[in-house]
Amino acid sequence: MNRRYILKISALTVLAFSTIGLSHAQKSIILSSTTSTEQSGLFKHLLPAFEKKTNIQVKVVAVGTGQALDIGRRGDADVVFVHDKVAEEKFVADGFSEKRIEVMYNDFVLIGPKNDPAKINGGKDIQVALQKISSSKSTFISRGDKSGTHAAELRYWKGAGVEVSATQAWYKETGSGMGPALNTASGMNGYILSDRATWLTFKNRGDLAILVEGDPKLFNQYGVMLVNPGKHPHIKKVEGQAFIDWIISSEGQQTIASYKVEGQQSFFPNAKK
Amino acid sequence: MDKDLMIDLNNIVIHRDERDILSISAQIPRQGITAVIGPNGSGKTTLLKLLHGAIEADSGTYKPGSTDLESALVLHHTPLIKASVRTNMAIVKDSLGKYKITEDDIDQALASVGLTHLKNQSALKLSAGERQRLSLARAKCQRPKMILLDEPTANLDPSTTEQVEAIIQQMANDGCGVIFTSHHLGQVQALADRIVFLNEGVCLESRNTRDFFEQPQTEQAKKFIARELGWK
Amino acid sequence: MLSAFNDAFSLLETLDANLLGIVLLSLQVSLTALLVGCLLGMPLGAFIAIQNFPGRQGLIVVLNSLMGVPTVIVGVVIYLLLSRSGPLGDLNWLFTPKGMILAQSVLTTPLIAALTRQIIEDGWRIHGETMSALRLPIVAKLKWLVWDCRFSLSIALLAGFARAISEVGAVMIVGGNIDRVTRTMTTAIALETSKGDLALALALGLVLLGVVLLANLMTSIIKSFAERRYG
Repeated sequence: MNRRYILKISALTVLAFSTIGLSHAQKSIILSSTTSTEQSGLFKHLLPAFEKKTNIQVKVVAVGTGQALDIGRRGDADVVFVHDKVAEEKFVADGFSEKRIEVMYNDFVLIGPKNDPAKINGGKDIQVALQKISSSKSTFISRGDKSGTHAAELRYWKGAGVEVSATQAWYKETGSGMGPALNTASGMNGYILSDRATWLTFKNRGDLAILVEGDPKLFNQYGVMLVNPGKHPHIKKVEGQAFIDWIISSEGQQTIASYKVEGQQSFFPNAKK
Repeated sequence: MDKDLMIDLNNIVIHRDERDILSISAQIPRQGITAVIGPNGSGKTTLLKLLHGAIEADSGTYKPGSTDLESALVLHHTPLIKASVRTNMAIVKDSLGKYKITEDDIDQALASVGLTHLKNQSALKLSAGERQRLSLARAKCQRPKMILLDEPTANLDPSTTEQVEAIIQQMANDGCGVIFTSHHLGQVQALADRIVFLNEGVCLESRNTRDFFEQPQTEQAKKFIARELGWK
Repeated sequence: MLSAFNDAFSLLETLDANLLGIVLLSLQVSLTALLVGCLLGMPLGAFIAIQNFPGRQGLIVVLNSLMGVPTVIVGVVIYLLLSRSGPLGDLNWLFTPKGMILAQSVLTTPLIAALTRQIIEDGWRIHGETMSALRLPIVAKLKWLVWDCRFSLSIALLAGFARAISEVGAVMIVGGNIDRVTRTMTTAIALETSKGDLALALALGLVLLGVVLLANLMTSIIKSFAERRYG
């Protein structure tokens, strides 16, 4: 009821609002991408180089591939950067982007408990390994979240001729990102397909280790797409294209290659010259 | 009695919970001190609220209306806000009454009831007597032409009762009409010029005090007086 | 588990600038949402408490239910509203603190309104007759009731703040958890947990807990002050 109260409240409000959105002066784009690229730490390494060169801030919304594409479809992101070729090609076919451009690849690894009940350790064929897991009914954790990793996993099961569904007791769908799924696998001592980079930075390993790797089928291609300004006129066309141009340029590609996790290169640039 | 000096109630009916809690035709003085008495539930409080305009009659009229009466109503229960005495007084400044209250009016009213020394005290720490005096001060600073009091001394000890009675008497002497309800017939006989006797929502007698007590006209009044004074 | 706590404390000691930014953003967003909730919810709740109008009972039921609405649902709805493909897309509030404030305001306002209504209704039961006898207009009635119930109402505000500062569903979806832009304590905790970096998640959790404890401390100080002064 006091004038002083009102003054204090108004001062606080002004203070609250003034500090929010201070960064809006700078040019920026919104990049929707997958949890694997952010959680592996690639963006922390890659984006500062781009921002320094162009003074364009890249705001990353990191979600599953399915959601990342949906964000692009709605026009809420300027650039989409995911790893599901089939879904990306559909995105282009539906007119939400004019072109899909390949940027880099990383690989998947099959993780499992050190005591390896399905006896797949050291194998070089992912589909054979999955067949063994299925026939031994060993616990397998799937992301089940329409992500690029999940899509790849389903392709491997299909190639192995195994039908999987949540009704099977050993096949567990978490409906989550790579990290939470790894947490679950660690807690349940189960098998799980993961991208190498996320695994390398994952700290809660429990009794798990890499059991199968190196199969060329396990290579995981990343593509980048500018959201179609024809469908969403407000898209930051110029800045978005600047990002794409940079990331496939030799400078961008070298920056990708120079990113090492635990001393190992995790992402392999392969943009077409 | 001169018509202008009376409130004329004509077939007023107030109906609640399937019964008539008030059904009255009477004349009540606008000046002097009038006591409204009667058994519990006879409609005394309802009558005060009606005159103040806090309740609407379902049928019937009364003249002059509540806006012209410029009354202040002090109810039996007087809850106070969690704030100082001063703030509780300041609330009245927001009132929609005709008179615009000033800080001086508030100070004056507090002084007239002897509460100036408690002005900055928390209102919740007041004694029953102090609370009643505060309520009276709140009524006074509205400069009412008529003050309606519901059982003003019901919970008070004898000396505080005397204080409040003195304030009431002073207000009447200053020209403010007083209508109060009470169960304390000794008090009524001492203070009131006129009696309005209600029974089950109906006004059975409206006469000057001496006549009422010496020669009550109705059976109910006779029984009532006998009971109340016997108990006393 | 003990090692996680140890790591957490040592992380806190370094008091990262990034961590500070995250805490500051959380406070900005939630305190602003609290302010909105107070300015909108309190008058609404007080008004409903003392005024009868058609549909009043229905409105009370709606408000009481909204008190416990899952935060993710609010997140999805606000997301759809603020999306460029949505009705409010031109505001450009998606993936920004402003959008997060909007989402959290949807959480705080009904909560504060519902609690205010109950508190003022109790006060009205006590003071209503006297206030009417004093011929106070409705605005004055509301003003003085709010003042009378100010201590209980400040507890309602603290409840609103707690709801905002500890929720993750709405700010995650509407804010996008963008590093250095829309990352709050709760979304950071979710992220670090999902990365398996439990020490950092715990560290952030401790800070969040500290903020909530501080708010609760203020509650009890207010209450004891009230009791001493007014009995």
